[in-house]
This record gives sequence, structure tokens and C-alpha cells, in this order.
Amino acid sequence: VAIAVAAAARQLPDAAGVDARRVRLPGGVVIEEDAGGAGIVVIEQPATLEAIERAATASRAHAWRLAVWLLIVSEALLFAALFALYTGYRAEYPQAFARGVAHDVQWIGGINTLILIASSFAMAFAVMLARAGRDAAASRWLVAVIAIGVVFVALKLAEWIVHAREGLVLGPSYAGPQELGRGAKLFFTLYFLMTGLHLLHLVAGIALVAWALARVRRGPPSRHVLALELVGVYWNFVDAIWMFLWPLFYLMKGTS
Amino acid sequence: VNLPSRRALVIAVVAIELLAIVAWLASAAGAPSALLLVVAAIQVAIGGAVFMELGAAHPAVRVAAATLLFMIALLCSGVASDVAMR
Repeated sequence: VAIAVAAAARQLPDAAGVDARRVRLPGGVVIEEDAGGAGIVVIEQPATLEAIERAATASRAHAWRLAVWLLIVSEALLFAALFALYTGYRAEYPQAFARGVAHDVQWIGGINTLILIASSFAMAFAVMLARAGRDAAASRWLVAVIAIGVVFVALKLAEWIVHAREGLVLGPSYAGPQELGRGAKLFFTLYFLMTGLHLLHLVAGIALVAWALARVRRGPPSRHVLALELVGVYWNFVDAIWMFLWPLFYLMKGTS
Repeated sequence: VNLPSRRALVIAVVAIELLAIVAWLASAAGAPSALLLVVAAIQVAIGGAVFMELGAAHPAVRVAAATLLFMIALLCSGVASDVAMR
């Protein structure tokens, strides 16, 4: 890295009035190109190696945070496209969609929403505790997050079973009640597609929280705080998606 | 970095839970869809700022989030114009 930086610095115009062969690196180390062309020599080294490592760690953490947010942005756009599809079909079949919403198991949707919000808090609280070095307490909150996630999955699967018994399934096997009207098949196709995709994300989230929990129990804080923070961002994103799925499939019972 | 405090986390979870209950009751009372979506957007905004720590995030992360909002706004306007012109 130092050689590359020195080489890049050499390309600066001489008119800038600086010694183009001399470069200051993060952490306060100053290096200079060897006059003999053999490489670089260290001119100043006021900072400790820990200072350089800290700078490198902060840089890596920033890169990871940005990467996770870019993942979230792309995932959110995927869900946004599905929301747009839902809106388009709902405008085409307002009555069928309103009846479909009313037909979903309201208490399961409501309870799942309330517990998922609680899990967001538990996740954020666990991150806060881990940053403070209280790993044992953070572990307990992470176990709570996993437990809530498992309850959410169980309730969602129970609701799917209720629908399947009524013939409300995906594809050509659909045999839902006639009173739901035209468009109900589309509603339930979107219902299974969007809640199924969300469920997949939630299951992935449970696996990630379990992985983070194992790291918290095993390693020193310097090795798991960032991982836990990033898993927390992902978990809260999955909860945020549900905040929009809930009204779409459980609350919007009117045609307005 | 100004990370959310314990108090901020508790206030955020109480606010989001209350908004969820309000949305549930409003739905039972026949509230319009737009109102329910606005409540959801407020819940997500609170969660994003506090639980996802966007309020204390690096500017690059905030730019990514702002770009997402812009793209979603574009998508919404496209869908709205499609529905309006049918």
C-alpha cells in the first residue's frame, strides 16, 4: 500500500511546491521514496502500530456498514416493486382485494406485528449492551430476538395452513370461496409471494442472529460488536418491511 | 458518534407499538388505506432513525438511504399516474 501511495504521490505536479516523494500515511507515519529506487524508507513514525490498526479497523467497519446498507437498498427496491404490483392489481380489483384482506387471520397479523416491533427493540438493546462490554446481558436479549422470530414463523405457517385448508393456495390449484370475487386469486398469489419472501428474509435473519449470538459468547468484544451491529441493521430492515406488509394484507379492508 | 441512548430506544419502541395499536383500531373503524400507510411510514421512520441508527450514521450511509427514498418516491409516482390514467 505504501509503495502504491508513494507512486501516486510522485505523479503530483512539481508546481504544487510540495515534496512529491514524501507521503504522510494514516496514523502519522511519513514515508519517502528511496533515492536509490530500491523502495521506500520510513522518515517519521510518531504513531504507534495500534493507532494505525485503529485507523484501518475504522476504515474496514465503514466499508462493511456501507456494504450492508447497499444490500438493504437493493432488497428494499425488490419489495418496492412488489408493492407497486400490489397497488396496480388492487386498483384493478378493489372489492376482491378488500375482501381478501378481511379474510386473512387478523389476530395472527396483529400479534406478529406487535412481537416483531418488540424484537426490533431487543435487537437494538443487545447491540447497545455489547458496545458497553456487557456480553452476558446482550446474549440474553439476542436469545429473546431468536425466540420472537421463531414464534413469528410458527404463527405465519399456521395462517398459511388455515388458508390452504380453504383452497387459498398459489397457482392452478387455487380453489378459494366464490364470494371473494374475481381478483381474489391474484390477491392470494401476492399474499403468498410477498409474505413468503418476507418469511425467507426473517428465517435468514434468525440464522444471522444465532451466528452473532455464538460470536458474542465466544470472542472478545473487538471481534463481534461490528458483526452484531450489522446483523441488527438487517433485522430491523426485515421488521420495517413487515410494517408495510401488515396494512396491505391485514388492515386495508376498505376500497378507499 | 451520537448513538441512541437506552431512553431513546424505550421511547421509540413505545411509540411504534402505540402506532401499531392505533392502526389496528383505525382499520377496525374503517380508516382509509392512505392513513394506514402513513402510520406505517411513521413507524418505519422512527425505527430507521433509532433502531437502525440512521440518525448517527456516516454521511455515505445516509446518502444510500436518501437514494432509496428517492427511488421509492419515483416508483410511487409512476404507480399513481398509472392508476389515475386508467
